[in-house]
Amino acid sequence: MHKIYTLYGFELKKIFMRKIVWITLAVMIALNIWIPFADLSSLSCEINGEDYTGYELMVIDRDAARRLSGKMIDNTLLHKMQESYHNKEDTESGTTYETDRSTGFKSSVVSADAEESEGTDTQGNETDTKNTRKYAPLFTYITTFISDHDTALNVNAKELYQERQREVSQCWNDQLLSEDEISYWEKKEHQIEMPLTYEYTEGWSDLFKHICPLNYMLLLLTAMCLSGVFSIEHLRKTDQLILCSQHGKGPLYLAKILAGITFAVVSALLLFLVSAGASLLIYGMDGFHAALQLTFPLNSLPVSVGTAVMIVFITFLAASVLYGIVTMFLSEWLKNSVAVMAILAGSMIFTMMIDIPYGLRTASQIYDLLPTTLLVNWQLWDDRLVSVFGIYLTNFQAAWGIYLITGTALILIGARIYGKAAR
Amino acid sequence: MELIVDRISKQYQNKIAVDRISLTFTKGIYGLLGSNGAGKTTFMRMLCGVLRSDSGTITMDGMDVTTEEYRSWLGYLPQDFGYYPEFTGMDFLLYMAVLKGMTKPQARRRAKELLELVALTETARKKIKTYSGGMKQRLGIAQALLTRPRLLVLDEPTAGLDPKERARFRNMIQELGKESIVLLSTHIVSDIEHIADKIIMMEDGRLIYQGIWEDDMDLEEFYLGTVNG
Repeated sequence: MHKIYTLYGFELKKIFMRKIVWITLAVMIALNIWIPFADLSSLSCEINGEDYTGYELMVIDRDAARRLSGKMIDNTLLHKMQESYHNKEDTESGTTYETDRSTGFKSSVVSADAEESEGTDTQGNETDTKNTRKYAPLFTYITTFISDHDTALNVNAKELYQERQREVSQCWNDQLLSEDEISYWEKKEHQIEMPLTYEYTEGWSDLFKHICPLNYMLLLLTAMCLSGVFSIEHLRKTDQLILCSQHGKGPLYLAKILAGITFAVVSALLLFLVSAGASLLIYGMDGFHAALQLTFPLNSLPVSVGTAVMIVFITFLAASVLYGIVTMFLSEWLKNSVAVMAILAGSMIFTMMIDIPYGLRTASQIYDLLPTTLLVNWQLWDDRLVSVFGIYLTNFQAAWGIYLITGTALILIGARIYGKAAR
Repeated sequence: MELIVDRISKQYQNKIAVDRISLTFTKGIYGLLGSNGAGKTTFMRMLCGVLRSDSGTITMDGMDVTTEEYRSWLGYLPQDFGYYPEFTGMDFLLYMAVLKGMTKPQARRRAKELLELVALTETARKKIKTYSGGMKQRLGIAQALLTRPRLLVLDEPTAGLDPKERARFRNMIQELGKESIVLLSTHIVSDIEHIADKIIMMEDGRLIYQGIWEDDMDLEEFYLGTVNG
């Protein structure tokens, strides 16, 4: 065991002593910091003759959302929102509109220091637009599942939740769920506390949004940095020395695998933390305990946003372990790091471009469980279940198990190939 | 101490690289001679377990070449000695020592001794990529000696060494030959003619001569005569 530990240290050293590792890591981290800021920098608009940057607009939105946080989305709140929008429509002339960055919905904006004063119904456009803006985050949320704005401005709480339920059922039908699966999700739906309590969750939503590019970055990073773990020994002809040494087979193989997995996990951790740090720095950490339905309105999991973040985090780490193992397996099998990188980059591009329709249930579900597709387009929250001995597992639960089994199988197959390395 | 090679063969597609060679080695220095493509390197790699033989067996004191015990007795310097350019000389020796089953303190002590022996003490903390060809070769010799091997296989060990280094190397090998089986191949006949106890000659994968080295032999002439029939 002590020898494996020492060899593990040397293998880590071999990985980290390569310049390409540090350069790739630095580029990926810089990109991760930049992406959340890029979203804001691409937005700007003119309101009432004044120019607003993306950041200023976000601050206005955030302040409005924070003021609504903790309020139950019931008839009282809906009525206030609708009233503010109706008042605005009555005195619409002179109001400037902006396009909401997440929904495309046009809403009015007042100055950045617009002060809320609920109940103060001062006459004039400024007060109307101020009040409208106050409820804009709620309106934006509602219009994610009630696409018709007129309906959204006249709906009561019962109709709102019925409409959400109708949309949820539609999603289940689109995914061709079986009756058992529908029954599973219906039970989960009953566990969601209704009516929902509004919370500002933009920081976490931004993190969810960026998990997809983060996942691709991780795959590329792993491919670039671990593709040589085994092949480099062949290329540098050090394999001859290794193969004739006492611990060159079993212990070294294990040390290499552990070092590669460590690198992949540490990289995933670093990328995730940097991305989360940047998003939370901009948008704030609010809404960690909010219902997941505030971020994904049509999701039926009765969990908080925080739990969902943990699910994404664990899945991302599980994917990183699998990426590491697959890269090292290919490196050992092909003994050519360029070929390994080409296969992994090619697979990434393939899964970015190709989608298998729901109609081909088994093929589609297996394909969507691949780590390159699972952390993309919210496949993670897909409602199709995997039945294991009569127990239903969600996509992410199944993925954790499948990644573990696949990773272990590849390590064992790799060990056999490595053991037979002497030709 | 006895190394028994019994009718080992190796074939690559249509070419027979090693053809049913049988040999018995005891303590001493063995010089392996043969022209390019004679099968010397393939034979040596099979002795080290880097290549599997198609048939035949290799055992040392009853231990098969595939066993860990056999490998623990072995020191090997390949013809194309591979290294990690970013490692220092000391790191490389420590790494190889751990692979060969030594503990870290043992490895550190032995690495220091060997670095001194091959005159690399002053550059021990420098990266291998900054070493000259001769320095790398000396480092290769040092790694082969790490475990005080009972079987030392050296494939073209003097390649890249200057005359002074070659002389030093010959002295070192002479000492080792008193306690171990040393098999060394070379193109430079003068490297082995004064230190080898026995001569082995190969041609086209076959063993064409094995015998004791006589002091009055002109090895070069003898070799050419044997090869040309």
